[in-house]
Amino acid sequence: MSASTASPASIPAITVQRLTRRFGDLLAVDSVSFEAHRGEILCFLGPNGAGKSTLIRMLCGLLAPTSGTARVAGADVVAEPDEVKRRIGYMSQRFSLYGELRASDNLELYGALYGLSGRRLEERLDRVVSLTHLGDRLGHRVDALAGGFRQRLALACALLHEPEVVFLDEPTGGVDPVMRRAFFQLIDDLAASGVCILLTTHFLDEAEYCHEVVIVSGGRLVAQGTPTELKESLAGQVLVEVRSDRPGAALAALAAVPELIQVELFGVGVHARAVPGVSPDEALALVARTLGRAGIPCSPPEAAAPTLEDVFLNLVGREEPTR
Amino acid sequence: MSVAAVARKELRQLSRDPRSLMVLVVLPAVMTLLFGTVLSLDVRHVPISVVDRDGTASSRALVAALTSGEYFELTGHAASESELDALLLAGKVTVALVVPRGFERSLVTGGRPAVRAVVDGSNATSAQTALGYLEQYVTDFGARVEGERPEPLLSARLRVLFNPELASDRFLLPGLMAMILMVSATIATALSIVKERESGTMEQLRVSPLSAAQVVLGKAMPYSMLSLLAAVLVMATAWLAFGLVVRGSLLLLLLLAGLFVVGAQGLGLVISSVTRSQQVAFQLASYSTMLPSFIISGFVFPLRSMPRALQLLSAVLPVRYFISGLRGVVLKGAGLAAIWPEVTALALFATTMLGLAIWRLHRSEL
Repeated sequence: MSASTASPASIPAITVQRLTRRFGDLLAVDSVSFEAHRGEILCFLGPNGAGKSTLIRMLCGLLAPTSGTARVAGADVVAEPDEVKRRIGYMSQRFSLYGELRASDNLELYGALYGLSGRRLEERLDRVVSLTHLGDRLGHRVDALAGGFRQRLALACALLHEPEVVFLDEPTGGVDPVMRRAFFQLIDDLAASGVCILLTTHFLDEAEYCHEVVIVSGGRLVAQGTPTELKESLAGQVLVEVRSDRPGAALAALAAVPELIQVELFGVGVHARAVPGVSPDEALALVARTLGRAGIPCSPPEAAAPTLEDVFLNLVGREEPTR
Repeated sequence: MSVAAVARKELRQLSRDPRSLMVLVVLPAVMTLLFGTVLSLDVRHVPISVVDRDGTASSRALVAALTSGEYFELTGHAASESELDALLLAGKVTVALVVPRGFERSLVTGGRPAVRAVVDGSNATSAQTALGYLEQYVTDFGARVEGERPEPLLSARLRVLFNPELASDRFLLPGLMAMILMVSATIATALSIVKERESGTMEQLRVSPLSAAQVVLGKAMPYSMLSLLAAVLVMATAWLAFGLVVRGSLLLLLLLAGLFVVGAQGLGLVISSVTRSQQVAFQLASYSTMLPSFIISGFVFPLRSMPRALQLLSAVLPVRYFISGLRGVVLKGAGLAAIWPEVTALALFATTMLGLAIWRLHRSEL
């Protein structure tokens, strides 16, 4: 394949093999391998310090790997970092923009950095502005824009040069939930147009929007699959959900039962997983009996469908994911 | 062209930030005005008191000649030498002059009379200068009286080149200009990079296909232009406020200033590459430019009278070459043939600093 043509759909947009990065004694990314394809939204889910940002920086050609290989949009990140940079878009968790400049100035700058000019620049500007609904904010100073607009402007800047692969490093920090939903709608449209999107997050609900979820912890890749596949990995396990006005007391009571593990607060209720060998009916009865004996009022216990949070907790343990 | 895009962005940022723009362009001229006024080694209005024992037309003419200029200011006549001593002791006068009895008679008969002056030496520099003036005036006065005679017995004819009044502001202004440019160019550049790193936009630039060299050039170009503009304003201020006329070629002056500013910016870039916060960058940039360019550059203190070690140290300071080049062009009207060593040294400084900056930026992993 020639280096200058876009990669055909059959070839993975990202191929990573045994990618490793050390900082002194710290193994930030430990022999990670995966693939991602065009039109796919891939999500790296993990607690802070899991190595997500280090991984992205290596894939963007910003940081050299200690060992392993990675090809992004058909270019090798070690041998041809400049080629990689031309073909990718990158949006950092800080929405790095020039605050004292207008939104349109920022867009023009990024257009020029990627060699866009004349009619082509105009076309691309029209396209990304309509995609991100920024039309009426173009003349505003970036400092004066709300978080959601800044986020979309940063995305627009990253998309101007029609990258084949887009990296979004925790793209929704400091943005309100409505804006977050709108942002994911936008990401979905983008993927539908054939772009491969790799994003990192520690929001579990955001992972639900993605086609493929990779759970990372301690620099290692601990699970990978669609959100449904990941939840199905808990099939055969018994999950019980019970709602109570006193969830704290219910949590304490249930956590003391040896047959129940991973007892967690979940909204106004409590989720608990039963140890293998306990049937669903036995588990439900056990929960009802325990809370009744402790005198804690509650709804009738129900068998719960596993959520990504259950999967995450099962794999990573109690390392504070944000809901 | 991506370098131009970065440069345009930088200018736009500055145009939205009038305060930084003022600091970079206007402040140097204001500083020149302030320092130029204050920083003078000249001695003026030296208080003098006289005991005139002769009381003749000649003795009065001598005192009048001494005190009619702006160098000496007559505070009054004293009755006795002990009164003069008291005035000196109290610091009321710096010079006490005694004209002896028979001064006029001796003058007329060719007796070569002597006047006695006592100078307060507690400030050595001004005492020496006052002494020099005094000597000059008295000799001149003697020469005028002797004018009718065929030939004076002894006279030294001195002529001072380049700065005939030996005005210290002439001597100090080029150095002041160098120091101000060095400080402002280095600090402004270091801060602009560190700020960009703090806000994360540097990372965004590094993810783009722009090379490290392009980033450095794009940032350095607009700052160079503004610093050159500041240099022109400083020269204009020196001309309008202090009558400093550039004797040599303005083009050569701009070449010197251009090379120097580019080097100073390179230094700013290098500083920014080893610091993480704006405060540290500011301190490092001020200390590394302000002190050496003030103390061991030849700005105020002559290099020749320094210990050998400091002379060697100053040999690697670009500001030294800039100051001596500037003095050459401004005061002496020197051409490229005379100051090529300075031009070469500054060119070397500029390329070394830019090279270092590009290398640092290329390596740093942020």
